[in-house]
Amino acid sequence: MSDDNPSSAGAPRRRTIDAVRASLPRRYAKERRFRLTGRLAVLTGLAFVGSLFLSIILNGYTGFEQTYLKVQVTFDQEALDPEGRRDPAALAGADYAALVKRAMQAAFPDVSGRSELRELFGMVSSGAEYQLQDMVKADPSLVGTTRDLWLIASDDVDMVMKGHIDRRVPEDQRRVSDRVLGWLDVLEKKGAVDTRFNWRFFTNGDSREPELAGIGGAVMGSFYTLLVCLVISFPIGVAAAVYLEEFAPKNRLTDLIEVNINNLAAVPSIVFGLLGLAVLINFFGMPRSAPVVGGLVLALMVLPTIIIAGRAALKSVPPSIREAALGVGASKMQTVFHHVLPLAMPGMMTGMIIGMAHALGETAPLLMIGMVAFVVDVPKGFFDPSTLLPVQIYLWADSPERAFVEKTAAAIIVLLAFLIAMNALAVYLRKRFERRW
Amino acid sequence: MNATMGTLSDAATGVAGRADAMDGLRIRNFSGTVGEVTVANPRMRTRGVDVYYGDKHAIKNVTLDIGSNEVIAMIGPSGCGKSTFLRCLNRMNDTVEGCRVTGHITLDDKDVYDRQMDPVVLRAQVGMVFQKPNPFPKPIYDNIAYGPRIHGIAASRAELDEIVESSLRRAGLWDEVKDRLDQPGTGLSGGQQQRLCIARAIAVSPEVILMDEPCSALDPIATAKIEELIDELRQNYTICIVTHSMQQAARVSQRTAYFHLGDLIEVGETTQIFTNPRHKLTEDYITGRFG
Amino acid sequence: MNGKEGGHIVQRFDAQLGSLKDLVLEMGRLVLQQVRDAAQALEEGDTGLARQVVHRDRDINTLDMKGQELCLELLATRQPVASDLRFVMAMSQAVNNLERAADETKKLGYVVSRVYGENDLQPIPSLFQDARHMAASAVELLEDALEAVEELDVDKAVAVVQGDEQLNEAFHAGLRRLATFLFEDPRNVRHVIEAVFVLKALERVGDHATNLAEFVIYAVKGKDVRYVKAEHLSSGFLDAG
Repeated sequence: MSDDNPSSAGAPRRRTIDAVRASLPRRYAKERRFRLTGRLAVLTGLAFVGSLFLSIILNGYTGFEQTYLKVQVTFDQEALDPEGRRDPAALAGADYAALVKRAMQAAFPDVSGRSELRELFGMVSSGAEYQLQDMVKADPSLVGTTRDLWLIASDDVDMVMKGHIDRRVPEDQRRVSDRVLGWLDVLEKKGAVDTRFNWRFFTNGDSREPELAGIGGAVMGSFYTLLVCLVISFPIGVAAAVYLEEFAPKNRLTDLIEVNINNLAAVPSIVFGLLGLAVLINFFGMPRSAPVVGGLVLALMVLPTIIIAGRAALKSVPPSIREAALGVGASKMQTVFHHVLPLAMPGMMTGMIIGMAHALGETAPLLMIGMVAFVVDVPKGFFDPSTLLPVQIYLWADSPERAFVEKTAAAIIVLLAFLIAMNALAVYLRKRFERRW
Repeated sequence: MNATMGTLSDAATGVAGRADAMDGLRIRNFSGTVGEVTVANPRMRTRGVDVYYGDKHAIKNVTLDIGSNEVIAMIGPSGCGKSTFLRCLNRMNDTVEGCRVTGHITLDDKDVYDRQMDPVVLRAQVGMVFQKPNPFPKPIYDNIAYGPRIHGIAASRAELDEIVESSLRRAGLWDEVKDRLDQPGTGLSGGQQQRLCIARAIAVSPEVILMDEPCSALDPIATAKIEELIDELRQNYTICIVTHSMQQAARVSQRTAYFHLGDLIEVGETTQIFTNPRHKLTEDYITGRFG
Repeated sequence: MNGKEGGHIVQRFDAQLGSLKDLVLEMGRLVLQQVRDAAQALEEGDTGLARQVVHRDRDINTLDMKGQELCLELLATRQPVASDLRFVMAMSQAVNNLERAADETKKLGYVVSRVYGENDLQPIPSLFQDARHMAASAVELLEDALEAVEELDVDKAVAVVQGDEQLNEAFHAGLRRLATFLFEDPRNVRHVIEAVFVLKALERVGDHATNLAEFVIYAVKGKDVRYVKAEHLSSGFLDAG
């Protein structure tokens, strides 16, 4: 206790508050570092998703547009209807391709020679003749008249117009010759080239010609397949979930079933495709490539998801509600169906929609049951051969033509739109019907 | 077990009589309940009730009468079996996995655990109010009307309306909710919700109402309202209330039963229990000498 | 009921009950001193001591207020039940009874001042002979009663209740003797009346001591024995249901 060392005399032990203060900067620094890494992780994820979406959209948005060429077409009485009877059968059978060729020749009268002419005629899509045919079928009075018409351009012309074919590349390495580019420039100068919204993309089935190919068939195929999937899997899934969660005795057997359901959810989806091939097609003799088979297979695939989600939803209903119902004398069945199930429904619906979205994006099992076929016609029922959106994307991605690149991307955009819409619906349902107690 | 049915009325002679009549049926774990377990006008009777949860012996050989139009409070430390015992009375324990009940419980001299007794019928006669207010997430009207509807009590919509109104009135809730019967019951305050649950229980005109800590989630004012309601309901119903609040037991009940580790230690007039309990355990518990 | 094995979970509750008992015992000791001093003043005709006795009553009144406050606080904050409730009620009554016993000693003090403070007439020597004996018994009763309170001892309490009978008999015997003084010399009447007051006061002190003992029995056994004849107070009676 001498005066020359006053500090040690007062408080030899450090006070807690000093220790806390001393350690504070380190603690805060740690926290800041942790937050930073978290943000970085999220940003990285966002960057990946963003670049994916960006590349798809940049590649795909032009897929929704199509180039058209304006050509003066003469609906020649001699060529179409030499007898003048306007017989629909005769009109339908007439040679419209010749009309298109003649029109193109008329536009460029100085072109001659077989290969030059083939290039000239190739500027217009092979779909143009069906365009003319449909017009005449709709209005037979067109025969004998001459009209300025916008004909579908071929995919090569389309690509040039969209800038996907580079003019600076040497001619021998380019799909489009200098001649064609020259004619195109002439047409463009006349204002005879236009890019319009491609409605055909949404209504047409598949085609070998990119400018004619559409996702209409695939969308309808997906629709029928998902309908079958929904109708089969939802009732079965809900019933199974309700039984397992509310009624089944807890014993070895139910434990085994539960484990198996959980395992089924993790089974590779292609295995379900094999099952469909072996049982549904080979054993029951169901048609290949049909939505009904695809729906059944996908239903098998999503059932575990729906059952698990359903059981989770049922579990989340508080036991107090069950007790309340039992307490006023409701039977087990009444308790479940009057109170528990309605409360669990939003959760079940969410699980169902997630399952459907999963099914919508599924390709592998469908390959096994022949849904990978090239199908031009839009399916009109559950037994028509059809493709599905993801399968269509897979097929197009496989095609060599440059124009299919943008079609693929466009189809992916459509598929993503559907998936996002379904997930949004699930979120909405959950928020809307979520109960608090 | 049915062979012992005849001894039920004999057993009304008291503890000694019960021991004579039922001795030898099973090993007794504890039969030294202090106080008068029987009453002159019983609504429900339990004789030698044991409850097991798997291997756990939750209730040990409990014999107790529940008199008509009385409020009987069951108190005791947590895990003493009072709630378990309560849930035996309307067979709510049936829903618990691995729960086994032996012994006799009668309601108006009918065996509650008899094969002939449907739990649904029993629960229509023995209503229940739970610890946490648990109205259905449905309109107030439907909360009350649910019981009468599933039991087919009301013949017409008008009759149902009447049941709903009278139940809400008896629960002292009518004036507070009459203008919003179509709004969900979950939107009411905690105390109102609990009174709604009581109204729901009395809508099916039970004989006995079981209450499992009905006020534990409520504030003092809401608690007071429920206690006042219990006092009024005693005119028409028999009420068994499990409570952690000894003051509440003292306030609302005429008889009090003290449970300890599955044994029924002491039963008696509430004033006697709270001024001069006869068993040391009862004394120690209610005076706060152990938890 | 502190001191008993297995106190309350809330130890503060035990402490409050303990301080209530301590207050009662402190008050009891004061009252005991008052009785002794009053008896001494009476014996020696010491008016100074008598004035002291009268004066000290104020201290006892203060303790009375404090005691009632403590009881009220316990009832309001702890809501005691069963033995705790009985103990608090008993202590409240004990405080009340001690205060009234103290009032009786004050009366004795006044009597001493009146009898010995006026020099005109000396009382006859044997006037307070019985009072002496009664005072001794009253002191003994009160001591025993306080001991019963301190130890919450039912047997001692029963002994106090039964001992009060003797005091009552002494009181009646004293009254008869005072009557003979009147026959001997009617001029004694004023002093005899004072002596009756003295006897009555001492008899009341005994009654209050008995009440104290009875409340000990109530606190411990839960039985109200105020209207039970003393000879019926056996341990068999107290333990019966």
